[in-house]
Amino acid sequence: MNQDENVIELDGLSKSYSRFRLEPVTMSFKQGYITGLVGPNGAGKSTLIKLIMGMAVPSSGGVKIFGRRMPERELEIKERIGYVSDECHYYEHLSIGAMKNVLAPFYSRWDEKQYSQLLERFELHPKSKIRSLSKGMKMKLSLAFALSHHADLLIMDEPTAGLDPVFRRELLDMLADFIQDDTRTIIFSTHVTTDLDRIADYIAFMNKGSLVFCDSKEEIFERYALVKADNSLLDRDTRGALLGIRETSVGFEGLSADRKEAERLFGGFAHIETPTLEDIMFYTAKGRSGAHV
Amino acid sequence: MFNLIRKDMLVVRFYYLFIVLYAVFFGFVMNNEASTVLVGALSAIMLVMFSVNLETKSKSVLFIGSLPVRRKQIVQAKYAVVIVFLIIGLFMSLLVHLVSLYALNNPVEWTWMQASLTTGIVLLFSSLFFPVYYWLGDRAAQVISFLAIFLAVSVVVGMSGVINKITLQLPFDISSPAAVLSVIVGGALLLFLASYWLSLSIFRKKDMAG
Repeated sequence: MNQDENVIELDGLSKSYSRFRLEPVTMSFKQGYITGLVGPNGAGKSTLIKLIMGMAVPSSGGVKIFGRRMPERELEIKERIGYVSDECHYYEHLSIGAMKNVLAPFYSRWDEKQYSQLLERFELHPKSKIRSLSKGMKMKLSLAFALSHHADLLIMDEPTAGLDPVFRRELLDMLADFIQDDTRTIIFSTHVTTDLDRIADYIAFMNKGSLVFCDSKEEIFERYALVKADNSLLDRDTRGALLGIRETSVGFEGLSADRKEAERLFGGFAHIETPTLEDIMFYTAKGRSGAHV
Repeated sequence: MFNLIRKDMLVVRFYYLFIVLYAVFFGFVMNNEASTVLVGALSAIMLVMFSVNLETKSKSVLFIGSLPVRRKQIVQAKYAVVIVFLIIGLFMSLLVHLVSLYALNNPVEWTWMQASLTTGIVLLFSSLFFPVYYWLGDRAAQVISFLAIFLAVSVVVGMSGVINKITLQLPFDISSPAAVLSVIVGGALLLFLASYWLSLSIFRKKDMAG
């Protein structure tokens, strides 16, 4: 498998709960890149990850990982996946060493030397009880386990939640190191968009159970535009061209998903800027009803 | 599957001490005609409950779901570990018998009938518990575990008093190991297998929830 090949392919994957529905998702994650799965809380990011991991049963659709179908080839697929959950689900009463003894035999490529080096780097002691660890330390432990069996694909569900800024930056640097050889892939869900600004190559944006887009960061920033202008420019046509609007007494700020169209409509009467991921997330989630300040 | 069984045995490693305490309490302190079955069955049932409760408490099914294992293997391992815990329970009841016989000069009886009854109770308990556990999830499991233990203890205490009467009424020699094994263990095993298929069909359709 080469770079630019798809490491994960989702084909109409959907899931229905009584109060939430993940609309059919068809998308792919490219090998050799970091893809950030971003969206507000409750957008469906964790549901999508659980479906990919086979922890949730899809209502429809299918998943292929490394070109092999889940769950039929689950064993060989998961041998190659390092998974980091948003919460620690290890046995809390065990020590780190005992938990390692439980986990390591499941992986044929478990690397004891690498594991010891990671524990040392993260300042984790094998005799420490898991329940005595802080949230950040538990995340470090999850990461040590996920990186100790030569995984080709790292799937992380909100890994930076609850981390202090110092380790947050260290984690992002480690992920950048992990991806260095172009054969490994990272999928990383978060609602903290600044993390993705730093390291993601591709962004998959989810909102209210639907995939809004999945594109390279460059394409997204080229396509979207943040329009800032006087309220007098807002009429039915211009409002219709904006995905989301925030109006104040001195003017408005709106997001357009078509930079060229925004430039045509507002021309020299507005400031047209490149939005941040947070702008895109905020205005898409809020919609045209928007915020009035 | 071996690694999943090994996992459950490692996870309850601190709880083996409780099993020794059960053996001392029911085998020597509360010594009566139900002691052998109580020690054997309760040891196995409590180990099953400890392993399930620890999994529920830590929501470890989500950790297990991330491992390179199939759903079928997860369920298979749960049922296989029952057999391992049953063997530990039977060993503890035999140990109580041997200690009482040679060290205390106050022998606690150990017969094939009691061993079969122990096996039957443990398999019956597991056959009822696991499908409900997989069906209703962790919250209901707490209630079920209490009811199941209460039921198991009631059955043990109740059955111990009527075993001899059953023996007298049956037209064949129930005290022979072969007959006991075929009637009690065979029936319980059939139920155990049916329960496994039921649990598997439930778990295959369910999300792994924390």
